[in-house]
Amino acid sequence: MHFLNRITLQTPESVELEFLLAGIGNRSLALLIDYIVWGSMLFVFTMIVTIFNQLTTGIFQQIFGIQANLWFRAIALMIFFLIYVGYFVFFEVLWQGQTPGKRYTKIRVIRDDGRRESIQQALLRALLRPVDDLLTIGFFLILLGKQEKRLGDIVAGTLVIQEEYLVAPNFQVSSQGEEFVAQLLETANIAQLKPDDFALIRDYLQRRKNISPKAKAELSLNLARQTRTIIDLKKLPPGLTADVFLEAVYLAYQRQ
Amino acid sequence: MLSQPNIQPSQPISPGNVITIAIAVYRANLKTYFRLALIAHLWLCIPIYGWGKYVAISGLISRLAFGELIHLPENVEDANRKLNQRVWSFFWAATLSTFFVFCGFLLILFGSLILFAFIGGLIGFSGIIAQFFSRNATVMITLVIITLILRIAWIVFFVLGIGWYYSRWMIAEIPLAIEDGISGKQSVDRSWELTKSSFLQIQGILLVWVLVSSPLTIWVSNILQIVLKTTRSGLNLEKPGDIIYILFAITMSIFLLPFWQAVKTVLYYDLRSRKEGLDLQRISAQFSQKADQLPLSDR
Repeated sequence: MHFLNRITLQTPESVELEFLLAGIGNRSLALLIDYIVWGSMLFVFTMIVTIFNQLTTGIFQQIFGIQANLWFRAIALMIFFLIYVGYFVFFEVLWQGQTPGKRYTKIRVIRDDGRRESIQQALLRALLRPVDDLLTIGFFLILLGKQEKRLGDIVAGTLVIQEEYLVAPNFQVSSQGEEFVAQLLETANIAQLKPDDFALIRDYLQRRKNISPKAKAELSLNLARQTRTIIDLKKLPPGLTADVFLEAVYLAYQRQ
Repeated sequence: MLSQPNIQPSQPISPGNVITIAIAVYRANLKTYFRLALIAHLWLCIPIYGWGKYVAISGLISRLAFGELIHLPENVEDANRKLNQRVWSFFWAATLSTFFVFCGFLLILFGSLILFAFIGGLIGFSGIIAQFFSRNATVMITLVIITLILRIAWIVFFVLGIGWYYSRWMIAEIPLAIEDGISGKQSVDRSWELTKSSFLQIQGILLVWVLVSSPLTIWVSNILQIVLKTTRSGLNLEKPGDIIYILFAITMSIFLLPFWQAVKTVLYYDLRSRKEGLDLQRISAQFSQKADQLPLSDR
């Protein structure tokens, strides 16, 4: 959508890359999911440690002596602290700029020059996270800034972008459409069809299964009429539906 | 050269993007929308007709936002003139959807209560019988745990039920504002029809809406509390504080109305794109050079 912020980056090889910025909505949702996952991890860890401690105190003391409990608690506390501090750093480094929340919302942290995020950036972002969360400073910076950078992003030199996927066409073409292609290539002027017209037909065929029957009937008829005019087809075989016609045009365009 | 849509509309627009797009539309037209929201709130003071006007002006904001989304921005006066004739339809649509939501709320509340009370009763009864045969502590503990799980299940069931049911009527007035020649009742019906099988997307949108609008409200209300505390200790006056608080709440309500309308409009645009091929119709209309006739009225 043209309402989402875009950014064009120049790589060191002076290749231009265009990215869609993540946006405040996706980032808020990602943060909420991360806080839930993070909180659950800390909670589950504390529970396990407590239960484990209760069960093994006697055994540990027998083996390691009276100090065992203290050691156990110290180690547990250290691991707790590691999870507490390291959650975002760990995932952002391991998953190349993603955390569970970011992965779910299909967003990713990259560097300002388009390279993948490394441990320095992840650390800086994580260190400044509490500052950004305080008084929701980060929220307003993302909301109002053109590049949607919170303090952590400004200092670390990172951007948060959306991952865009192009879905390859994966629809079925009926056998009638297949049969009509040869005739179409002979009698009609398929070359008149422009890439944009073709893209429209392809999009329609791709998405028609989700479109309600009433809207679909109207839309396919409109498209078929226009396409027929463009490719200058004089005679239509009897009993040909708009959908089959469009399928045939779709195939013919690729085979001309 | 016509631009192709660059988000694949066979996929729903993600909840996060719905909110981001809505904010962008609102920001680009901040003054206009805010002024309209202010006027709408003033109309609220007049019963019945004023309430209809409130919904109609909310619809007007949606109509303008929709024009932005389809690249055919409409003049405020023209749109206003059109929608002014539909004030009673708006009132009717709002009344109808509110009534449906209210009834559904009661139905889900009591339905789930009865259902879960029944299950709970069965479990309790079997527990008593079990107790009768063997006086065992584990039976009691199991019962307590099951009852607890049952209560949580009821809350989840209830919240999801209400969330689902509300989402079906959420965009009740939007079709009336954007499509031509439909009645208030038809508009409400279309909301039910369009939102079918989009449960997750809409719940996600509601969640992100709460997330994104809360920093604003929390933040400003905190400042307000600090200010109020100082004035209270300094002047020791209860009344002015209350008045400021009410004024603040109204301002927030005015400020958030266009945001909420924009969110619903983006959802409506997305639903119509996916379920009726609205964007394909639009591009196809551009090809045949009748772009001015098509998008706003397809019936």
